[in-house]
Amino acid sequence: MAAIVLAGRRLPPRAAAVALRRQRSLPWWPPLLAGAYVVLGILASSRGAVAGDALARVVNADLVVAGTNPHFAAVGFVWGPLPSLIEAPLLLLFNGSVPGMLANGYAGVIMSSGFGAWLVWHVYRFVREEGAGAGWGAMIAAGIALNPMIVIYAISGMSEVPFLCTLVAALRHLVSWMRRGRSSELALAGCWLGAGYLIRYETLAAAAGAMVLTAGFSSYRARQAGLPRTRQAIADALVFAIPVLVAFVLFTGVSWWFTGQLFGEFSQEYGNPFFVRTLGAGMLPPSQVAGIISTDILGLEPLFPVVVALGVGVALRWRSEIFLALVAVLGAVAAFEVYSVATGSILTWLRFFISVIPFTTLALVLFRPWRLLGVALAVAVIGASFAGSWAITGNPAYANSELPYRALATGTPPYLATVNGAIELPGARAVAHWLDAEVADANTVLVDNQGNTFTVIAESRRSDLFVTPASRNFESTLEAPYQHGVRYFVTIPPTLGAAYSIVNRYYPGIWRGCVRDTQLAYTVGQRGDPSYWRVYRLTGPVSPGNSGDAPACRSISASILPAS
Amino acid sequence: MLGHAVEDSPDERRKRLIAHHPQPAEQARAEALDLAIHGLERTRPEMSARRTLVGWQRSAMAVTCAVLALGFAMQPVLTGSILISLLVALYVAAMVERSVVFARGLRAVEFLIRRPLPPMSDEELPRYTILVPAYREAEVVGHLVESLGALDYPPDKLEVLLLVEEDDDLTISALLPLDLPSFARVLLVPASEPRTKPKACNYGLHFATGELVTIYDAEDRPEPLQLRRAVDAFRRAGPRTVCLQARLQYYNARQNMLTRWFTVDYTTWFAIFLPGLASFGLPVPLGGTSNHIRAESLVAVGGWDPYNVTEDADLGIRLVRSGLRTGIIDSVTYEEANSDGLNWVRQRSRWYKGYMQTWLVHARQPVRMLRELGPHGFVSVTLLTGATPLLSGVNLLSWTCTIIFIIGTPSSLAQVFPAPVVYFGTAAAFFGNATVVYVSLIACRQTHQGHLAWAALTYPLYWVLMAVAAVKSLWQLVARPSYWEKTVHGLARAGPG
Repeated sequence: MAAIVLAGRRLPPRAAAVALRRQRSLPWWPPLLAGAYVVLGILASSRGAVAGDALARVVNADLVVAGTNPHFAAVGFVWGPLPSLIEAPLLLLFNGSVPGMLANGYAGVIMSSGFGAWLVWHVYRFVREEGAGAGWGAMIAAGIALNPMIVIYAISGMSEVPFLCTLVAALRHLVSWMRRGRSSELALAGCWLGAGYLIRYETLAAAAGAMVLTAGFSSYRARQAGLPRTRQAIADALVFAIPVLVAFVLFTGVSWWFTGQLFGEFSQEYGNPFFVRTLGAGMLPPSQVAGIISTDILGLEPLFPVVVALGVGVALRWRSEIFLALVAVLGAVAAFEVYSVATGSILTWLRFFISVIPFTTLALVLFRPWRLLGVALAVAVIGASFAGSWAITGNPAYANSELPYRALATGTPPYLATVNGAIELPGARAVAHWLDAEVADANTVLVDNQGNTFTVIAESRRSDLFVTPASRNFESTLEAPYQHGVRYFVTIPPTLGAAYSIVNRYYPGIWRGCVRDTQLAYTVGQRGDPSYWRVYRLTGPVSPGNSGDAPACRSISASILPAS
Repeated sequence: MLGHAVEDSPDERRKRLIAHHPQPAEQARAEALDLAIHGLERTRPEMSARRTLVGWQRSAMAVTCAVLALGFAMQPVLTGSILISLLVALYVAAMVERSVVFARGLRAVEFLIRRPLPPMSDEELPRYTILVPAYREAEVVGHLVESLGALDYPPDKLEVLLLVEEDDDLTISALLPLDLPSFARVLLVPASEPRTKPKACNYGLHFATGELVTIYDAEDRPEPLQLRRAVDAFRRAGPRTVCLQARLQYYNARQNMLTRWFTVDYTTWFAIFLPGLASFGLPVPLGGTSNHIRAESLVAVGGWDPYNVTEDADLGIRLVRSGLRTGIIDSVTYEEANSDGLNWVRQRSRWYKGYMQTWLVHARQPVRMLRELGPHGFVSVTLLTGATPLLSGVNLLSWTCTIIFIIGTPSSLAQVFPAPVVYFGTAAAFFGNATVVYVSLIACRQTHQGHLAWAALTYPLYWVLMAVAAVKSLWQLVARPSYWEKTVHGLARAGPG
């Protein structure tokens, strides 16, 4: 059995034919799909449908490349850094010529559209690699590409679709490994999930599930081949897990290095616990939460239980690797989200359940051997999903970030939803334009980019005006702003919880004008508006906790200051 | 079977050996020796490692040292930063190159079709010469008979030349009682400097009658079908492929942690990395043994370089520079891994010294080297040979600095490392180590050696040893370039193979 490796003859003929199925060249439609998503996204955001989280990520990207202190750590450590790091070069290259890149979040649109098209490509290749023809491939791919929920998230600049892309890519490689046993496939699956972790932390659930599957499957295969089971299983689990571990250690380590905090996503200040506390979800009774969860899932995929039941049946009967892999990767994520929502550690937002869409749609390939019946089932499931997603994303009781996009699609004006829904940009725009006109020097406006006021940075044409928590020496600037050159504070009403703006936390009386040596310079909005903000000018040195002597000010409690 | 009395003198033992294994005529021996030592030097002086540095290299080195000295005297912080940045950039380039080659090699190896060996009649098979250089090899010479006997090749087409130094009484004494097969004979290499393996092999090559030549060490255990596989592979490859490297593997992997690491090292290198290089058409630094070469091509490129302590790597590059190719065959030769730390450092420092020698020799005419190897080949050779020892040393430096940095930065260190350099360096060290660990793990898994996973995970500790060897090699390169530090064999305890 002699084999030879020579230059230029990388693949022996038969293997080359197998490899062709992998199709290394890119077909025509993914770039077209990406372009379509970008166009839709630009249309939507230029009409006011901008997702809050998406714009915040773009602002983080902007802080990495623009402003007075460009540095990588400005990307922030509360969310996965990868989307912002991808948007950063876009801003660097195009923000001058296309102001909407930052102001309307187009950089985010481009990022998520690209991932959206890539997701659909992975779905298509997955189906084809199962041995299905182009018809099935197109059907399943369209089932994802045209699904209203997926479309919304592909065009919005949010991280859900990029996240799904990494999951499905990992799934593809995992199934390939299960079929053919090539370690390179397992390594690639691990690398995709490593990248996924840098997008959203829920990837860890998928990684855990996949690792269990890897160890179990490897052990099973080793037993069949008569090799030592435990060792092979451990080796395979490591091959899979190390890239995820590297991503985890890297992000955690860098986070610790720069902020002193290991896990910003779970921090009390800006992470999930904060949202849950301020937006008060933990107070719903369990039965209601269960009802919301099931409505969300069934809304997105009405035939989800049917597919799961049939899938389990097929998997048991035909020992299908696909179903196992789907459960281990996408199912684990969905289960994790359900658990998190049920225990109240995150809110009941519809988009947390987005992973059921690719789970159900990809599971349809299990029914391909049923021929016409399989096709009919697939069409029914996909059709039901389209209808259900369309309906639930238009329902204000369940949808929130999705509403503006849905509203645009039906021609009604964007629904002004709560904090993490669409954000109202006109208010931010007004403040930003006023600041652009009024303020000459850099580093003179202090604003918290992690609260709601990040939109001011987005709408301003001069990123260098702003001092944010990402700036160098932010703490010392916060303690002695005037001495550091700061002349303006942008602040929000304290009713949202003082923790929601670091300015309010350090200067509790600022909103009511109770801080000495400050005067109201500009105001926008009224009580009850999403953008009800004030800009205070500093006329002299101020220090934290200095609430002033007027009677109305004396009641301001200084205990909201952070423990140092 | 020759008996011997204990009170024999070395001279008498030698005479007895000669009686049983007649040597060539004196003139032939002198001629062979002369060619062995001076052959390459005469035909291709620019490729000989007789002198480590040539004119312009000496000047360049002097200028560089002067610039560095001046820089450190006048602007130590700036000079330090620039130097560190350059080293880190080189490190990153080496890591990227290795990863790319590894990925290619992994794919190539995964897609290999296993073909059965076609039947070949004895008449079809070409004559094969096996050179076995032995120096102070009392312990393992006994196993040699076994391994030779196990080879599946017609004895009348086989020729084994045991190359023993004339004054190597130890080996001669060990050989006397042995009953060597008919196709094996002992060639006594006249005592001469440089006392190296390639000189002995060149000497043996002069008397070789085979169409194909290979080298095995005394303790090697090649797979019995290896010679046939090589013949089959040569047939299927084009005429430009004149060399085939088999995979080296250790049989005493489980002996201790060092042997485990060493096995991981070899596995990654031979099982995945070399196929990657061959797949790209890049020069393949050959292994010390089990490289099967067409005799006439070997003579045409000048044989081995007797002054180079890693003559195998040098030959691999010289072959490509002459427009010839190396392939990899899917056959294993088992060797003994060094199980003793000190011994290992000696061996590895010789390898590193040889790598640096090799690079300095080939980079003597950089333009010609670039032309003959192509840009990718040029970069690859530089990063794999010249840069490897340097970067091993750098790794040690970067760890030390990272540890100091984590514990608490002394202000002087903070000055040498301005922030971007620190981040770049730390990131490079982190990814570099992570990549190597990961790549080693995959290689072990690919070759069904899952039990070495722990060794792969702790691989960075192995690098500490490598760094020590690197420092030693640098000193030796300056002081004693052609000194061949002998590796002691026979340290493997009998254990599960």
